[in-house]
Amino acid sequence: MSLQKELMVKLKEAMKSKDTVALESLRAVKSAILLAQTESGAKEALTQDQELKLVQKLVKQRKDSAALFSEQGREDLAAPELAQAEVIGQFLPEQMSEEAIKEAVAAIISQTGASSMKYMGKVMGMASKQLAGKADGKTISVVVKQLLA
Amino acid sequence: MIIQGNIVDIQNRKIFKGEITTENGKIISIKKTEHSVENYIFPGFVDAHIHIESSMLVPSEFAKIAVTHGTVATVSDPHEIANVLGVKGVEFMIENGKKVPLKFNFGAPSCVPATSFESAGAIINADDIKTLMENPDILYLAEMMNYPGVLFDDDEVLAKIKHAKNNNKPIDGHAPGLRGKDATKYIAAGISTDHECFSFEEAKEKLEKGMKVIIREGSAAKNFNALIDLLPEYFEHMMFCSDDKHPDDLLLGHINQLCERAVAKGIDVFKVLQVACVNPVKHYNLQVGLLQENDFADFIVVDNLENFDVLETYINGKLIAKNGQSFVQSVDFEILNNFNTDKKKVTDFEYKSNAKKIRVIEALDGELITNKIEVDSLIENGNLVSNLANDILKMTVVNRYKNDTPAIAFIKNFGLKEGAIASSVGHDSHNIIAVGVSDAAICKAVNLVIKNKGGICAISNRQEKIVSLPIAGIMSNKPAKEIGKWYAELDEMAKELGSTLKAPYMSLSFMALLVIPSLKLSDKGLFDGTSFQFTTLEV
Repeated sequence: MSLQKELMVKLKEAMKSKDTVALESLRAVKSAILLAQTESGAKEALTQDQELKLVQKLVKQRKDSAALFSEQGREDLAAPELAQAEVIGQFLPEQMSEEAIKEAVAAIISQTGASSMKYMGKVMGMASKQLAGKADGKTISVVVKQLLA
Repeated sequence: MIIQGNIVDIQNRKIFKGEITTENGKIISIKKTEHSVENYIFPGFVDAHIHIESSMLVPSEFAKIAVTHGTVATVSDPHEIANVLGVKGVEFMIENGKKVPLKFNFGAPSCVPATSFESAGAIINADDIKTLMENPDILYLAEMMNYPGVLFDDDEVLAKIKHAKNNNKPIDGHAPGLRGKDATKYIAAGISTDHECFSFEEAKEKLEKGMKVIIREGSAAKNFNALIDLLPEYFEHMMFCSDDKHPDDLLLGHINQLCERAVAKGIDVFKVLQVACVNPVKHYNLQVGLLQENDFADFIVVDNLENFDVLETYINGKLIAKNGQSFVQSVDFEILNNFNTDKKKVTDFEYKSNAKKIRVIEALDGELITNKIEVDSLIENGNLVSNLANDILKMTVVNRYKNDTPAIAFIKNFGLKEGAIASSVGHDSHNIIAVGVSDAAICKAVNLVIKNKGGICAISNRQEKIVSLPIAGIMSNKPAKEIGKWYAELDEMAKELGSTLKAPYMSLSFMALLVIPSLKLSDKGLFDGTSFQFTTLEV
């Protein structure tokens, strides 16, 4: 099922169960897709990659806000952001464990013969492409740094 | 019934806590009251110009989905079925639409057939228009595509316009890009709307000359981005429409999506709702309620004025959809068709010639217009054939109303590397149109459509798939959800066969639309839309 159709199904369920967190989260995704798809120049449906990036961005925005709120001791505001991030996160492929990320990055390093931080950019580029949607950029960069250090 | 919420009074630009009491399908009172319900109530959405047939659904099945998006009425031109079945087709749409709560408002198709250069299934002449205009179920004269006819005072065209005026019924326009003195003359003839404007300046000029501009955003043509900035100033004279909406798109949303996009741009919500809900009702004098006492109880409930995901839809005081679930029931109807051609032979698709160069249609992805190019031919045993290396494929249009010789042309950019695709949805006459890698594949695809008496299909060496369209060869008798799924599968198969077009079947259906240049194919031959005459395949 395409992401948009899956969203419509989940949206109907959330409307029926009056689950406001789910409703708000799902609407944010639906709205983001609708607006991205119809902005100047975009004529057709988004590709799966574009959809994935959009969803990742929405999750990241919420996690970043939650982190900011937490820093200021506003757990009451952080909690709903995290709840939304969780609902939206269900549209991402299963996230890789740190171990699995390390394994994948190590394979890229040996494949490219990268031996120092000088190759950080190259390894990062390949790793982000290969792990797109399955791991967030921040975690990938921490792992790459560790393994190249 | 009593329903509470924040009542959105669009015309007086205010929102107040209140309750609506309905009885016998009408609103008997609207009162201010205190309560804790936070939902918003406002009149339902109206699609101001849509060919229901493009959804491949009959009106009753279209209604089932549209009401879940808050659509309570449409202004519909049965132009497609009229090209196949004439007045009988128009009557079918009216009767089928009457069996469900959604308020379909049909017009009389003004241009059937669309041109005299193709074989349609029927003719609707000025006398037919007179009869239709006198019918209380027909609310307007639908898009007057023959704008040259208006500009050059064609008697038949003027007679059709006169019949609409005599019956005090509005006349819809269709004049893409028409500007200046020509636009003035077209408007002065009494034509009051246009949904074909594609540029800001053109729409502004038409608005200033007194026309109503309908912003179109459908599955084929999309003008929202070009025109939406006119809405804040001209909201009293604009409407929203889809024109053509495919089944898979309809499942995702309707006029509610346009409201969401307009509000996201920061446009005042009262203005947006006036365009989406109020203006069509007033312009076409629809029997649709606008949330006033004594009005029909047609309204919708949403929980915010940004997303427009519809919680409840009421028509004539009855709950028709709730939380995405439709209560519209499927209805029985007679299957009408006009399909009178026998199966073809592979040799029917041969084109004997020794021409070194041929004229080829260049399809452009996502566009209705085509280019005219000249390329070297590929000849096998004296027969012009597809040249896969250069992506020049053979194409045919086959008259479906009687046995006739298929018309042959060549087309670039369909990308097929195997098999063929075919369709009996071919604007505007809806003959059978097919593109394929070989005469045998084309013949097989065309015959599959003929066997089913209508449909869209793909065939390869290993399999064949068809979505059959038994009603007039353009609509299904199945529900939207099934059609949406099958359509998506067929689209995927066309792409597996090599098509690189984003929507191969949509592109295919417009390759016989002669009124849009440059080079098209009718069942009567290759047609040059720029000089508006037939041309030859051989250069």
